[in-house]
Amino acid sequence: MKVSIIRPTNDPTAFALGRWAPPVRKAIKSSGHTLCADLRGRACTRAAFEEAVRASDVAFYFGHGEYDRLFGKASLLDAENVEVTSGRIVMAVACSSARDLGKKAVKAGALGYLGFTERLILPLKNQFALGAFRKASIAGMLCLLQGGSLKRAHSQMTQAFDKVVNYFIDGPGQGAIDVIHGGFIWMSAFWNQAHIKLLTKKSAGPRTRSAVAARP
Amino acid sequence: MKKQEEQKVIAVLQAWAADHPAPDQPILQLAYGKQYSANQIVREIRGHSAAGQTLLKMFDLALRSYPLQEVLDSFRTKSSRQAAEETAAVAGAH
Repeated sequence: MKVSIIRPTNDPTAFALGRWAPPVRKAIKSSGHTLCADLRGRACTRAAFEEAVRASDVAFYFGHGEYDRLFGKASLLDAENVEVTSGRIVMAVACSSARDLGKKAVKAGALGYLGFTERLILPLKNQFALGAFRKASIAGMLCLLQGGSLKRAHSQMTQAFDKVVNYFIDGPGQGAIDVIHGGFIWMSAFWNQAHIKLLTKKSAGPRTRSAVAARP
Repeated sequence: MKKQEEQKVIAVLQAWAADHPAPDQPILQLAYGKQYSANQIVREIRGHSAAGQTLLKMFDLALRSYPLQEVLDSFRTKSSRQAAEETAAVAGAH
């Protein structure tokens, strides 16, 4: 399938989220898919975003989001251009966008929208934890690239965040890794996990799978 | 979240921030861009700012699945956890 990565990297937070994309980029190539675009920085305009999404079966986004839009320096996807997602899958590692924008995308014909319905909360001081958050956040993308369904991708992402919660609340991470920040680490993982949302049309699961398999 | 629970959360976080080796260095990021130190977290929660309300919602969500004590204990070091248990045991004995 044809895949695009979009990462505005327009400020430190978006830049940090954009740095979560390389394992996904690597997986696109290693699993035999086509990388249509890897938009970042100034190249990430609204027009370039639309072009990249139109050229793809799947768009992976890393950056800022709100309930009703994805944005870098300018708005990239919102109610005005959401129809570009029609017939495509969008996965967004971004705040809040699955709540309203995701619904609008599916209503406009998107096969699926996987993202978060609330603000993402991330630990800063513990690199081990941040790495676990990254792995969990891209777990759905990697699953889809390996031929999994959207439902399975959603489940993989949820389970990956679950592992972070369990590791820090009563697993080896409790007190051992980070006594000071352990509380906020597991609670923010729990928060993020609770707000993962997959939106699809009811028939999107099997159709998505066959559509993905049919397009090399 | 019940007012009583909120007060307990704030009390534990105040103690946690007081014990924090770098209470003014950012430790948590709300991914729209703002970063918060231990002291700021306590201030935001006490002041019920937008960030404070998000953080309180995070505690509220956790309390729907985990007991209050377990949530609070994850912000205590082993020694302060033991002290809290002893205090609770003494309070229970009276």
